[in-house]
Amino acid sequence: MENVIECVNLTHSYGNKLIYENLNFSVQKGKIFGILGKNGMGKTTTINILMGFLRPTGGNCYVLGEESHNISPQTRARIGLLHEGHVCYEFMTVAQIEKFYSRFFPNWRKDLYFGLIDRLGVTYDHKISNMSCGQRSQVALGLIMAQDPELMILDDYSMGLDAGYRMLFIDYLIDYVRENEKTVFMTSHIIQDLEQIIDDAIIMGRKKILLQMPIKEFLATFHQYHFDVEGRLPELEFDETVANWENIKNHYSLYSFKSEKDVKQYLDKMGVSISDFHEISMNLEHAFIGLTGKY
Amino acid sequence: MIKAVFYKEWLKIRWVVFGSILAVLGFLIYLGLNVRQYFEMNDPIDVWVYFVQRKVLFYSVLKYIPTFIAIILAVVQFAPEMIKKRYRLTFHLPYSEIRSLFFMSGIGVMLLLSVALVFLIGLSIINSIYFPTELTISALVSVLPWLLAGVTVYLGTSAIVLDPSWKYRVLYALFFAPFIQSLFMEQGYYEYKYSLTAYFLVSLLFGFVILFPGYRLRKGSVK
Repeated sequence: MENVIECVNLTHSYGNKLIYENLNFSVQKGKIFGILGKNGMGKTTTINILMGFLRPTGGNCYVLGEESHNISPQTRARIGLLHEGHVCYEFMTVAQIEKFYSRFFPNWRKDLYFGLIDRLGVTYDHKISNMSCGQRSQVALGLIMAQDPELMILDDYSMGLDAGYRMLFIDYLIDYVRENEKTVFMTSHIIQDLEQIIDDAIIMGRKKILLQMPIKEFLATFHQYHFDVEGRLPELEFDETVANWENIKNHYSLYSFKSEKDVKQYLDKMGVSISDFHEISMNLEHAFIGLTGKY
Repeated sequence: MIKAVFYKEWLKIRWVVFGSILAVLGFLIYLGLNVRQYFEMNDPIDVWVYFVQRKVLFYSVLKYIPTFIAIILAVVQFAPEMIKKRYRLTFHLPYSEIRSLFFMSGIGVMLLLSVALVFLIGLSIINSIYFPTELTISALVSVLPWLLAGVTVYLGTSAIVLDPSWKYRVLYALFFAPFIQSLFMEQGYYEYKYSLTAYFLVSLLFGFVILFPGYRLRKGSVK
């Protein structure tokens, strides 16, 4: 399948501060791809690189076949970009901003934009600077949808949105993307919302990718095991079996891609006496925290 | 697309343009009343000696107005691009970044010149009421360096506002300041008569400076 985004050995640092090194990932056409990571792991840096606002210190990224730091205006027309914080021209009104953007895109879909605006119950002469963050997010999404892009890049769409607007945003996005077979590359700090949207994901850790796989596969193969230990468990090493672990007193949680049987065997080999061993089911947010740690 | 770029810039700066025209008209009215009062209070010979022999430019009150308008215009036009990094919206448009920058600053210069036109027309009307044609022409030639300074200040301020680095902002200021200062050194009429073309050509070159902060923003010199 055709790759819409492809990053090869991507490396970036700000001065001496290395953000990540030798990242490799690709996004297939028609997929909704999520990039998950805690603050400061390089999500926005990656989006800035993809959109040519940063030149990586190493490696290459290709977006719709062009090098990310040299994307032509024609290709930019095929990419809808939602900036972090739903940035838009706030000195314009709802109608003015539509008039402005419509001149740049030949396949402009005015109906999609005003359809979304009409749901907000605001007049067309409403100034964007006087809107709430949630309303502004709908304006920004409406503009991107009206652009009819092949690829949508959404940088933390959930920033500043309450639950209602987040759901509204997601509902519209899912409907639009599935109906029109768009490719989406997105980030959000609200992981639980992404569970129902994304097909594939990469989870970024400190300076590297911790995982890249379809989200369903991740949820099916990543487990949280809880058990109590008599005495004190030796310090666990991160290895093939132990992806992460944490404890409060003698209550332990171990995160692993291995089966219950394998983990029990692993603990047996360590010679620790455990009790009340059971698996706890996880949603995406729990699994994400399980893999990356709480701190 | 050019129309769209103009539309956006116009929405940002239209009130500055209207306000500037009103301010210029206000100063011109003040100037006209001042000259009339001078003629009423003094003997015509004294007026002639004062304005012509002693080379006192009666319209020097207008000297820095184009500069002030240029600063306000550049800030109002380009500061919104920098707030919340909105320049990224502009640079993501399917339109050449270089053309966008040139159009944006070109529109600013054009609107600044439209205010300058009001300035020149008003000044020539006041002059032609009280003075002979030769003095009117000399007045128009004498204020051209101030207008040119206004355009250059606009270009310099635009670059300063657009660049996110204070180091570069200071460098732009140091780069523009001597040239701008040299346009305010007249001590009488017609003093830039022979050098004005050269000044004009140099100020055209300053129009390219905006590409530096533009390039730095586009290619990510800032986090």
